[in-house]
Amino acid sequence: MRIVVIVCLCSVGCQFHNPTANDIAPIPPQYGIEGQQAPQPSIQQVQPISHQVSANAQSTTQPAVRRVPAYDLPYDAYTGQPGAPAPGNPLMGINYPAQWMPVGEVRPWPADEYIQNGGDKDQQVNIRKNWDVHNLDEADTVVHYHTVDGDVRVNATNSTPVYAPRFAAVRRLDGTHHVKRTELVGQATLDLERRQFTGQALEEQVQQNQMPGRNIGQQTTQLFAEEIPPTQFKGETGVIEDSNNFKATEGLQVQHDVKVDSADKARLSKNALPAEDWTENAAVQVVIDGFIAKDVGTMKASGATTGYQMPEGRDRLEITKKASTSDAKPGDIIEFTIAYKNVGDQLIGNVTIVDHIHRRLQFIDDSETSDREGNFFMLDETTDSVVLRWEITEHLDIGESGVVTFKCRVR
Amino acid sequence: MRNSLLAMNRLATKRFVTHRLLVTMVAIALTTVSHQVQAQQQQRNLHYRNSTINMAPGMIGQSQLYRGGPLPGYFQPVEIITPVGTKVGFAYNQQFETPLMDDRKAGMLIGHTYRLKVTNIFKHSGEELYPTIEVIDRLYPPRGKEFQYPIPIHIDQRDIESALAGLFVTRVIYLEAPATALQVQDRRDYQRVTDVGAQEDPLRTADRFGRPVAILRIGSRLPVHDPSTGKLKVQTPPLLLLQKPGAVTPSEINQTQPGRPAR
Repeated sequence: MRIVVIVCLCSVGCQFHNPTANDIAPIPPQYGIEGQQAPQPSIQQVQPISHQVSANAQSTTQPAVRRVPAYDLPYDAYTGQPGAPAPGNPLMGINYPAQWMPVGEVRPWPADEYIQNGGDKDQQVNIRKNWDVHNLDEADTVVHYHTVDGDVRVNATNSTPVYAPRFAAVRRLDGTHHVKRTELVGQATLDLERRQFTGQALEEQVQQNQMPGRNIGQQTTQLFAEEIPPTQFKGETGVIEDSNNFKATEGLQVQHDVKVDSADKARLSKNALPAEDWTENAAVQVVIDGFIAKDVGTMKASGATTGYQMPEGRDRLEITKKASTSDAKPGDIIEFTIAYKNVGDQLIGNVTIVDHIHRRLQFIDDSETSDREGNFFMLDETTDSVVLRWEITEHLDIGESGVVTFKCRVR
Repeated sequence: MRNSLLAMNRLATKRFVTHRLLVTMVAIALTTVSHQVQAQQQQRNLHYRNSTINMAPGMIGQSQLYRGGPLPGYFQPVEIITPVGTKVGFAYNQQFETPLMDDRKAGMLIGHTYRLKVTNIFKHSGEELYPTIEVIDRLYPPRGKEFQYPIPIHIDQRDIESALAGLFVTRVIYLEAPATALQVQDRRDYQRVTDVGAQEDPLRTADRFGRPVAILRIGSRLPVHDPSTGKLKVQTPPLLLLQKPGAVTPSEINQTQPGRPAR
């Protein structure tokens, strides 16, 4: 009953919840500026023209000619610049902060005026063993590579927002519609004559006796009786369980009494030679990258495990993405540059850059370039956008870098 | 013994019924909550929850001003794009200017209704139209590039023909959402239009596609002039007229606003 009361109160509370003025359409949190510098503001100064503004707008004795520089920002057009509005502005006394945006939003704001390309949004990209790229969302740009350990690492670029608003319209036509319609009275007469059967459908009985053609033979069940004489099993005692895996409960040493005859001594000594070889002093020395692997422990027993301390290193691939412009109109061409560099201390290989182009961008054929040898692929995975893929065939040594570029047209 | 069994049976039955009643009430409450949450979520995605296209011109923009933000006082640049040869003139200082050819740009305040005059219509010489524009939201372009990214308001030939035929044309211009943008190349001389039926609200439809920013209305009503002064009887809001370099500046471009004290 208490649960019911609580639930009912919650439902009632939801009914009286009125959305406030701040309930603006939520902006996805992934629209965050990453590494992209905001465009520098250009300060426009326009000579304010003094003119008298009268309540009665009929006065024409003072021709207030406002010569506005072509496409320049007028002094009283406020766009969120810092400081108080200029004198004469009806908003005198109101001081908006610079680059105002609602509390809790992430730049660039508003996101619907920008084309975001780059980074790894929504689902995290992962690479399968067959090098298939999964969870590559639209406008994602990632790079994956192999390390000397055989691991596959995935890095994402920064996001490159480009200001490119696009508009459309919804139209409705209202008015009286004149419909011309002619209604006719239709009359149809159809005399249906009763059709009479002239014939008679007689009921026929067909009886057919299905009889076998002939007896071919009789098959009777036979009782198989086969006697398998028991074979003589020699006295062989096998291991019921797999003896390759030692159970935890079992010791590594199988102790049993062994009677050694004098005739077996030579065979034992012969077999003992390989065992002596696999001791610590005579074991294979492991050297990796010029470093002698240190034996951290050896269990002196058959089937022992030996651990080696590997020299640790960092494999890092730094990748950045830049756009040639921070704002564009439909039809403009943007050149994107993806730079990558091995900033770790290990050799890496199979560097592959994957870029899922935004649907507002149209890839220009044959515009891709790469300063390193590799293969380029353009995959039309979906009907909305294309995926670009660069497979760098060269290994990337420590400190080495590369650049790939491509051009897109803004839709 | 028998009485105790009967009593236990009744108690068990009572508990069972109560349990079923509890489950039913919880299910109803949860369903109600889920529907309300879903409705709220749908409403939250809309920019104009409490506005419809049937509101009087200017009301939608005025309601936007109450939401806060740097909307009041901002002259949002707009660009009027008409068919080739058509002339467009703005109304300011309670009179229409001489209509000019080519695309016209101006800065308009949010929440006000601006009147235009369209003349020199193709195949309709001598006929005129008087559309109105209501800017209901603004853009936030990079600083210094505000007038490079105006709101394009197209008046295409179909709008003109429909208005001259006696229909009332309502055109809601919206900012397309990038995530659901169409994979088509945009053109400067053509604006993609979605026609809706008479029963649909174009403002709500545009709100689902993106963010509505302006409303264009074209009707058959003629502006009323004062016979004594020859000026419009309606008040014209402040207008920021933009001209290309080398263009002839009109003789009067007065940003008058009723009620403002003289300097």
